[in-house]
This record gives sequence, C-alpha cells and structure tokens, in this order.
Amino acid sequence: MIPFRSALTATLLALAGTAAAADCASHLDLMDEVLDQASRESIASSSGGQGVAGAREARAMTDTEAPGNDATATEAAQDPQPPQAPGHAPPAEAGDQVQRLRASLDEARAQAGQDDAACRETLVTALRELVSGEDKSETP
Amino acid sequence: MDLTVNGQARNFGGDPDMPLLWYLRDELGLTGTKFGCGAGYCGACVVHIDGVASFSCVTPMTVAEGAEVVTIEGLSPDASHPVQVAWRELNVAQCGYCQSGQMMQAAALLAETPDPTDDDIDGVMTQNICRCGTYPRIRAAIKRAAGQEAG
Amino acid sequence: MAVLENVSRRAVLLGMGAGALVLSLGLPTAAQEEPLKFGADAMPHGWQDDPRIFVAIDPDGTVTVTVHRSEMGQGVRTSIAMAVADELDADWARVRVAQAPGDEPTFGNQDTDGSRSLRHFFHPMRRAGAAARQMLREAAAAEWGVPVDEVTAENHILAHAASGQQAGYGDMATRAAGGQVPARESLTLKSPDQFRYIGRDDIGLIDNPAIVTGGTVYGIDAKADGMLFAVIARPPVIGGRVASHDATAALEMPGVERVVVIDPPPQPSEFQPLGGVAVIATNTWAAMRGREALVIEWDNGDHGAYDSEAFRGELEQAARSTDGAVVRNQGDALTALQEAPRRSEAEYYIPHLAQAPMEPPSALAMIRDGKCEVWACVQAPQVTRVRVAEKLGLDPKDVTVNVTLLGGGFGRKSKPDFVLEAAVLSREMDGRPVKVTWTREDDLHHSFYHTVSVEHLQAGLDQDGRPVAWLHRTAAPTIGSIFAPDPMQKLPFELGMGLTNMPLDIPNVRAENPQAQAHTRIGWYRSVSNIPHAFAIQSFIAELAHEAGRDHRDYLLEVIGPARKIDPTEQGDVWNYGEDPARYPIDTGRLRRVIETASDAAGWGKEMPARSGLGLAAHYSFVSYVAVAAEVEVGEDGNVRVPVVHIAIDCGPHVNPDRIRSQMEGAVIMGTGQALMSQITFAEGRAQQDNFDSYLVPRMDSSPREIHVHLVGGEDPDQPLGGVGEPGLPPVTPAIVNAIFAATGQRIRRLPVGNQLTS
Repeated sequence: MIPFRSALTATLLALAGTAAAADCASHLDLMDEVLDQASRESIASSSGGQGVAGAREARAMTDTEAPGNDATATEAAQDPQPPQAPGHAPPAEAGDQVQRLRASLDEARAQAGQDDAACRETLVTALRELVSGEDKSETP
Repeated sequence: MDLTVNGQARNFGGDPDMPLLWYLRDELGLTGTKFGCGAGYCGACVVHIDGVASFSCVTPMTVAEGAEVVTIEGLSPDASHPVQVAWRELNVAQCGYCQSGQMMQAAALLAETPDPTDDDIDGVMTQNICRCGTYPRIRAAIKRAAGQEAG
Repeated sequence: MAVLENVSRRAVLLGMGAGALVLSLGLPTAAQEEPLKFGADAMPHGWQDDPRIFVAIDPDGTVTVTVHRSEMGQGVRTSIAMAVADELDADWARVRVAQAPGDEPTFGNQDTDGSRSLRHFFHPMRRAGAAARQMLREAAAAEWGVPVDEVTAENHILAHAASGQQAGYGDMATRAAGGQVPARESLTLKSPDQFRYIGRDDIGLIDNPAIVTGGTVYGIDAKADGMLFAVIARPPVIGGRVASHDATAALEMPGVERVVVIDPPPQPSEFQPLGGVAVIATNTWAAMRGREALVIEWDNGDHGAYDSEAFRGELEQAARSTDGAVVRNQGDALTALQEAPRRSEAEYYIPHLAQAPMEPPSALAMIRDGKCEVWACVQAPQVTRVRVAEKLGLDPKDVTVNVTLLGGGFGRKSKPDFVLEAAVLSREMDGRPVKVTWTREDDLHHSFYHTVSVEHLQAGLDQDGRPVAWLHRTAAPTIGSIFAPDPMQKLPFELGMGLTNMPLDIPNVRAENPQAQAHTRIGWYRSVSNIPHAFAIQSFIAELAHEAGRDHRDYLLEVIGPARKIDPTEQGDVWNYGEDPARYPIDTGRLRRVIETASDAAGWGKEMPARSGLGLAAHYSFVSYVAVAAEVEVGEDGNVRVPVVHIAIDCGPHVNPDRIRSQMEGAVIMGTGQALMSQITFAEGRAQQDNFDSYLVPRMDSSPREIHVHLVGGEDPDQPLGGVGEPGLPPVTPAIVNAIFAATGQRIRRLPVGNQLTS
C-alpha cells in the first residue's frame, strides 16, 4: 500500500499541477480509496487496545503528531507553578484531520460535475491544509 | 386526581393514561424509581401502591388515584429499613440501577412473608432483573433482613 | 441541577481543583523512532498522577478524590478512592468521590473498557495520594518549624512527636495547596503490610448510601430547568433512512412540541446516531405516545435482507473453506492433521447478543452561549466530548461532558451515539435542555451487537487421543466494520482474545480467519471475542477428552502442558491486551492452578445423581486466569438448572477483593444466560427481540443459587495487576455446556441451549 501521506501529497501535486487533465471526480474516487485503505490498515495495526482506544487509533490514521482539536493547552496559563511532568501523553486524535478531509471530500463531491473548478479548489485546499506544516517543500 | 406519594398529598391533572412511573420521575422528580422495560418485565420501576409491590411503568395514573404510593425515597426516613441496612452491609449493588426496584420488591415480600424460604424468595424476586448479576447477594440480604442469618 | 457532584463545580481545594490545571503535553515529533509503548502509556492521553488533579482537601478535612473512570458496577469509584486514601493515609469515613468530566488532557485516558482501570491507574492513583500526603507533611513542618521527616501523617492526623504538635489534614490543606508537588521519584509508596484499605474485603461501596435511598443519578435521571423529553424512531435496519413521514397525528398528541427528522449517518457510521424521526415533548410519556402516532416509511438500504439463520449458513460455509487468512501458524498443522492416526472436528455457533444494560442509553444536552453541556452515562467521556463538538461545530473546550453513574455498561455505553442525538435535538430546540431516553425496544433493536460466530475446529490425535495438530477457523463479522468500509477480517485485538494467544501445548497449530461481512452494527460486549473463542476451544477439549476416554480435568491440564511462561507475540498475537509481553507473559502455571482450585472446590470426580453433571472450563483473558466448575441438573423436560458454580480467578494482587468477587458472581450469571437463553436474531434486517419477554436474560430463578468465588494468587505484591471486569465471563458458558454433556451425553454446539434438550 502507498503510505498514506505520500498518497495525499501525490494527489495534491496531481491536482495542482494538471490544471484540467482529469476531472475532479476521478480524484475524489482516488482519495476515497486512499482513505478507506488507510483506515483498514490503521485499524489492523492499532496496538493500544480493544475498546474505544483502538477505534481512536484507527482514526488517527496518519503518523502526524498534530494534536486533535480536543487539546486544551490554552488553559495552561492558569497553572501557577510548573506542573508535574506528565506521565505520558500520546498525541490526541490526529485522525480528526482525516475526518475533516472526509467532510471536504463530501463537499467537493457535491460540486463535482457542476463546477469542476470549485470541486478542485475545495479538494486542493483541504489537502494543502493537511499536508502543509508537515512537509512544505512538497507543496507546490 | 389526588394521591399520596411518600406521605405527601399530590394532585395530578395530566393524561390519565400516563403510567405512574413517568409522573414520579418527570413531574415529581423522584428519579429513584427506574425505567427498565416499560412493560412490567424487569421490575426496575417497582413501588408500593397501598402497600402492594407494583410495576409503576404499567400502572396508569387512573389506577393510582386515591392511592398511597411509596417509592424508594420514602421507604424509610433515614435509610434504616432492614432491607436498606442489609443491602448496605452485604454490598449487594454493582451498578445499583435495578436496586431500587429490588429493595421495594424485597420489602413487600418481607412484609407479606417475614420468614421467607429460598423458594419464596425465588417466586417473588424473579420478577426483577439485574444484568450485573447480584442475585446471590440479594438473596442473602433478604435473609439477613429477615433475621435468618447472624450478622 | 441534581447531578453527581462534579469537580468543575467544586469549591474545595488542595491545589487548583480539576479543570483549572492543564499540563502542556510533550508531544513526540514524528521523526523520532518511538519505542513500543504498553499499558496506560499506549492509551490516548496516557495517565496522570498529579495530586492537584485528583485530590482535594477541604478545610473541614473532607477529602474528595476525583475519579476519572466511569462507574458501571465494577466498583471503580470505591477502588480508586481506596488506593488514593490508603497512600494519603486518610480516614475512610471522611473520603468522598467526585466524578471527572470528559477531559483526558487533564486526567489521562478515560476509556473505561478493556478491564484496565486498576491495571493502568492503581499506581498513578497511589502516587497521587502519596504526593498529597507528602505535601501535607511539608506544610505542617513549615508551620511548626520542624524537619519534615519528623512529621507523621496517619489517619487524617499530622503530628510532630517531639514537640507534641498535632493538626488535622484540613488544618493544613490551604498551606499544602501552595506547596510544591514532590517529584515522582521521591515518593515512597507503602509496603503491603502498611496498607490501611487496599486488599481489605470489608470496605462498603462509596455509593451505597445513595443507592439504598434512590439518590443516585444515572444518565436517565439528569434534570435541568425547562427540560424537554425526546424519544426517537430510528431506521430498523442498519444503513436505512426515512423515506417519508407524516407527523400530523404525533403533533396533535398533548405535550408534543416538535417532530424533528435526524439525517442518517454515512456508512460506516462509527458512533454516529442512526438518524430517524424524533418526537420532543414535555414529558417522556408524551414523547412515547407521539412516537407511536408517527407514520413513517423506511428505506431499508443495503441490509434489509439480513437474516441471521441464513447468515449462519454463510458463516458455516466460510468456516469450512480453506482460503481464509492464516493468522497463526506453528509447525505444520495441515500435514500433521493428514498424518495423525485419528482426526476429530467440530463446529460451534455463537449468536449475536445485546448488552442490554438495565439503564437504557440516555443523555441530556443543552447549549447556551455557544457552549454545550451534556450529562450522560458514557464509558468514553473524552470521545463523547470530541464527537459532540464535531457534531455541533464547537471547539471541544466548549463542550462539557458530565459523567453520571452508568446503570450497567458492558460495552454498549462506549459508543456515544445517544449523546449525539441529545446534542443535535438541543440545537434544534435553540439550545433548550433535551433529554433523549431509549426504550428497551430501542436498546434491543439498535444495539452495537456482539458479533455472531462460527468456530470450526479440527484436531489430529495421537494413539492416546492427545492432540498433535490443531486447526481453528473463526468466521465472524468484525467490530472494524463500524469504522472502515467492509473489512472482512477480524482485527488483531479480536484474534488476540483467545485465538492467536491460545496457550495449549500442541506442536502444530494453525488459525485461519475466513472472510465475513457485517450486516448490522457490531460492537464490544463484555469480554468480546473471548466469548466465541473460549466456548469453542473449551468445548472441543472436553469433546476430545471424552473421545479419548479420559477424565476431562486431567486431559485439560495435560493439553495445557507444564507450567511455563509464553510470549504470545511469538505465536502471532501482536496485541497481548496492550501489555508488555515481558511483564505479562501467559503463565500456564497460573492457568493450571485456577483449574485445580475450581475443580477441587467443586468436588471433581464425585458421584453425581442421574441427569446431573459437573462441567469444567478455563480461559486466559485480559491478562487474568479464570476457571469455572459448574454443576447442572437437567430435568426430564429438558430444563437446565445450574445450582452451584465454583469460579477461581488469578488476577494478580487484590486491590478490592469484594469487588473481584462481585464481578465473578456477575460473570457467572451473565455466562449462564449466554449458555441457556440469550440471543439476538435478525429477519429482514431487523433484530427480532423487542423486550425482556423475548430477549431472555437470567432471573433469580434461572441463576445459580450458590456461586463460590475463589481468589487465587496475588501473594506477590510486585506482580502486575490483571483485569477483573471481563475475564470471568468466557469460561462460564463452556463449563455449563460441558456439564450438560456430563449430565445427559448431549453435546450442545449451538448457543443458546434454549429448547435443544426438550425432545
């Protein structure tokens, strides 16, 4: 299987680079496939455990360390003294990003066929948000 | 219609078909009486109506008219009913959800049959389901409340 | 609002009180090669042990322990409080608990599943208690101007012997709160002989006073001013949707305020609500009446033909095929099977089950000023928080998940679909508080069901009837099907529940996992895939013993082999319940010992009356070892009674022995139901059981009258803890079925027994 991140980047490059070569819908299909495969693979390789933790890992499909949107680090300022070092704090749900990508795919799908440029724009924006911050050199 | 709940006079003017359970829970806020099945299969909703253990989930308000209703909140003023004491002492509960109904059922059993046999206990308590599986302790607690076992 | 005392509303403190303190998370960078993590380290958000998060002391001396794991009957609120109070050396009579809201960055992992609350948090909670005690001692030392090591802290009293000074914990709480948290490495935990509460059998449940007076608050009991009540008609078939509906009659019902259509989720639907038509009213009864008056036409989608009887045939075919994925392979089982002097094979069927907690799923949600607050009986509060935030387009910081007591969980309440329903409906009502109540019919029709399995086993036997080759095929839809589109294989954690980690001493072992598709929502149910695996393996061993003319116990011990420690990762189980195989190898000596204990206690080998029998089974799961010896009586009418059961567990050291016993008692009763009566069947895509008249569960008269629990092991305090909530269950059902064989000579291979013995 193509590594998930490489697949995202490749799709982004293809979309951004070939202005009108393929229609947007074909890219959507490819992204669907990549996401489905990634979710199967990551569930299969989840190690944390049975139960919700396994499912959460499954959502954290990528190896990104980006915290999920449940981080509450902004409240740290209220802490008057340096806290005890955390025992262990694995990354929160990076898979939430993937959920957002799925939502963007749905949005793009709604545009496909009517406004291919808008579809492409939606998809490129979503992918760029995901890929950027990870490896800017690969973003066009 | 008028009724008494835990010694307090109450008046109800709503849907006469409403089961007593939902009047107790939604209108009076007495949530100690539980919803488990809505059909008289599980006993989570057992209260005393004129001293008789009854499934409040299938008892329409018309039937409760003029009745004296006692719920778990009114079983004793200070948690001193022998059933409540035995339940505490033997750590009967697991999740605790069905236990209001179990205790109300057990209290009525003991009022009727102060010295119950195992078969008496089975015969009555089988109406109450516990998914956690506390039946052996319920049996032991009923015997203790009946004074059959030394503390 | 009458809910559990909640830490965010608490005004007492040692330190900040929970919620105010958030640690900056030292996130690893992607480039780093991370070593494998195990236990709590491998869970999302790991663990915390800062005393300021978990311990608060009032000036009046009241100690409040914040419990971040959900209470569903396992006794965790009591057990965690015991661990903290012991190291704090607090007076138990002055210890209270508060329930943490969903907030893992603050509290560490909150997924209350996998039988791991104490396994993962016993030591962090002890450290929190010990650190708080140290802070109190330091405060007293500073106050009195004496060296800290001369200050004692015992049973809620701080004292300095030389000067005769003395103070209560409450007296020093404020000063201690301003002190430094001692370094983790500097803490000395008690030795077992110093324990005040840990390991004691006579600690009353901390919630007992509320339970016996009806003062407990479960999700279904949550209240708020101006609250509305909702029930929902959901698509009867998974993946279905509302084709059309007419709410005219429903809206005319007195008390009905609104009817709202909830869109179905995309498939796979994870924990999303199923969609449908909601009726919102001024009380639960009015909402129910309104729902009855709805006229709805459903589009059933792709699974409208699901028929569990036909599907059993499909699973059997799959289990007989030779092209399943090989998930474990030692030696050469296929050749050894061919070459063995004798062969035996058998197939077992285990149906869908519903968790059916006595409290059906229920939740209250309200939205005000862009913030959502929910009260819910959830096993996974953090996941609930994040999903509610996603659903409402809020930042999770603006979602508060108040965790109520759970009226049973058994895995059902790990999935917050019902909370999302309440949140969506509150939004529809402009943020007014809405409580969603599931009826029992809703619960049984829309569960996340235990999977359905066909287990196909073959053994190649030597001249003495001892297995030299073992082939096990498991065909069952996977829990992965709610997360990913149509996965056809079981996941590693499912296979690791008794299949890939099966510890029998057989040279040639092969496990295969043929494909199976899910046609309904599959989810965790107490002990999960251990149920089918243990039933099949422990039944088959009994069958082989009988064929060989051997005593079942002797044969079972022989097949398990001598005491040894097995690294399950070496035989294909990559999971090992998330634990380090070096710390948690499979110890067959411990498995042997529970078998010997349970069978000896039951009087194994004794003469039994006609149509009575003793049956035995053992299983390793959740890093604990359990054996069951069950006595059954089969009436002439085919009715099965289970008068006496002995169950022995080795789960390592015992923190709260009374709650280990109660979990074993409960497991025996739930397992009795699985053996004799419980099943969910499907026809035309719909679950066929509506309520407790058709979904049969054990009642007092169908449960064992005597359950004897034997706690084995635990002598070594340094031994890591095993699980308790789930491991009791898997061996119960095969022990009962083996006992039925001993009583009648009839072998049950299809669960439940039902009326199979009535001829």
